[in-house]
Amino acid sequence: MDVDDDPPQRYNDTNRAFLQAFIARGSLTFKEAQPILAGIFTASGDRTSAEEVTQDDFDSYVAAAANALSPFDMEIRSMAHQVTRTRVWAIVNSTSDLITQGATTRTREELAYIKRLIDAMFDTFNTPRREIMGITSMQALNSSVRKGGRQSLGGDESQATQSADKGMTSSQAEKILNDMVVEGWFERSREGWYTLSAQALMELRGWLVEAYNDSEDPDEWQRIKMCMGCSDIITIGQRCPNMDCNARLHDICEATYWQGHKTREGNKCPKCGTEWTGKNYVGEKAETTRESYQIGKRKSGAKRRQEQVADEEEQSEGDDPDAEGEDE
Amino acid sequence: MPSGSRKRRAPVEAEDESEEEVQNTQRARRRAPDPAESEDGEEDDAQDAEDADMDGNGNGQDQAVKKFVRLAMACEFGRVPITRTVIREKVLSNSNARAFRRIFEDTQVQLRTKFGMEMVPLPSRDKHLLRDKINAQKTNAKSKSTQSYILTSILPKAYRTPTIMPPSTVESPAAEATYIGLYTVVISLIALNGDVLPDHKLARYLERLNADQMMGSEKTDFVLKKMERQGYIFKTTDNQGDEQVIEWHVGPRGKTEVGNKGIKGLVTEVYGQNAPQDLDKRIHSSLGMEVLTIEEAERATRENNRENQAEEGESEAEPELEPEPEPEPEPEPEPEQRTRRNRRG
Repeated sequence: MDVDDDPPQRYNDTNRAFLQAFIARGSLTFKEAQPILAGIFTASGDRTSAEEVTQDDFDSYVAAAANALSPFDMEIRSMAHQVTRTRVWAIVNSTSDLITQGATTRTREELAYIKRLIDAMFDTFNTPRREIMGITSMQALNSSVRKGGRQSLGGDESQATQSADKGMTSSQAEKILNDMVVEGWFERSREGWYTLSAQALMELRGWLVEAYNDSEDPDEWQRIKMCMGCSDIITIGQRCPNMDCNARLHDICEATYWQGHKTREGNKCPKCGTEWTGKNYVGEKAETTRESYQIGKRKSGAKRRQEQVADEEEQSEGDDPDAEGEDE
Repeated sequence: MPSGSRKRRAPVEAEDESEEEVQNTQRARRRAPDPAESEDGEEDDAQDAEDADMDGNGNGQDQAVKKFVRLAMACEFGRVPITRTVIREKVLSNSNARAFRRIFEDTQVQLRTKFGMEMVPLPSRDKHLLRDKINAQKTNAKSKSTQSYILTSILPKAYRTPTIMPPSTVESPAAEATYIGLYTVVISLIALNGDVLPDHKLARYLERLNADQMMGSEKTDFVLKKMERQGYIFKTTDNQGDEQVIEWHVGPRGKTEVGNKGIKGLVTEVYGQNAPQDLDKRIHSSLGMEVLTIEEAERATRENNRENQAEEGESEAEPELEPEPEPEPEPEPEPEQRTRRNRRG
């Protein structure tokens, strides 16, 4: 249709192209969007280089796209990456219905495996003492996760194979893990933990809370918690040393948060008053900072180098924007 | 998302649009509680669909259009054709089936104005087997209810560059690019053989491409099944005496997404510098189109489609959602290289 000849139609092909590009990618950062918008502006006759695309340009296109999507129960959410602080925008479904549930290219077995992975992240490896909210590839390839079954990890394998769902073979499981990272749903840290990406957290936010938080009581420990600073889901960051307290804070939100909550006697948990150490962690550090884990690594020797890297990271924590978790 | 900071370039668009939209959604919400009111009084509004999309018209209709758009997006995500059956089941569930036409038109308007896409009907499968042909004659003139659609982009060509439209990340971009390359090759092979390619011959071609066992990182059988499922190709099995004859044909999605234009692109690319003078002519005759040039033929089909749908025309758009399937420069070594790259990934 000749939209360009039609004055009241201000939403034009550049907006449509941006929306299509966004849909094809699922999620975008400003950096990723720059060359796209530059391409779009150039195509519309306004030669532009990627560097010339401003945050304002991006914001206005995101806003226009969000408006175009909203009548269809789709929205654009954004959240800061929990480690790198890079803001990520994603198109998410605000309602889950039968129509969109069909929108997957995965088989039922693959979906069941992914569900078991997420269960492992937020149930098995997310206890009041250790909120890891991630899974190592070793754990992910363990037969009880691959094949399903009710018992916990390391349980009796013979029982695990009894379910109707045949589960995944090791190579299938490895491929899924890899695909999930490539498709942007999982991230793999340097230490080898798989966690949900910002995109996945945005898409699944409502579902995670519903699926894993059973208690209505705000004083009881919850599996899924929000950061006190930014109110987004937290899977990597700091926690209140009090095991029963639900107060959590992203590393990247820490500075701003304490600025607004200054007390004379140092940082105190605003919920229970326990002294905030900043050394009690959520995420893989809940595991890697444990003494028994460190000892285990020292014994195996070969991991020494990695450990040093991890230690360095700890020290420079938060001020290295490029320290995105990637595999070695 | 940080709002309120819209400047330069898209500003007018965005702001005006947003106001319009806010009103629009508010209205939709207000209307939502009484979805049962019938749309019968608006029978004549079909032609006004263009204006109607901004003011909205039916009650249940808005809901139906919303569902329809979501369905179209979901189907395209899995490369599943949008069939009438599914539409009836998921979109029209309670409302009058007669409303289909209007809801369809409104959905098209939404898809075009908001997304720069539209649904195009898939050509029906050609009848290759005698018994199918006979069956078709018996049932006489296939009813329209078997019609299915796919989503395609209607944006001008300038916007279809790889920077803007990457191979989608439904699977990884590399896997997607591999897959696009592979089905383009398979479709071209079939089409250049007169839209009939016996199974053993396809196998031999694939062997020469070193793709008879694995295509990329997946088993060839599996990939062919996927192409079949998504409608890029289809096969017929016929029993002639004791012998079973399996033949491959180009499927509806293959015709629409790749089409003769894509095939021509691939062939031209393969010949490269050494192309014989009369290559175009040869391609045309191989594809069974003697007088018409490919472009003319495409335009003719498109206009046909248009007429079928009784829509106002968008002219110079080719039917594809994805960026034009990049024809592989050298089909031969490609699958191997890709396998390697995939393993490393």
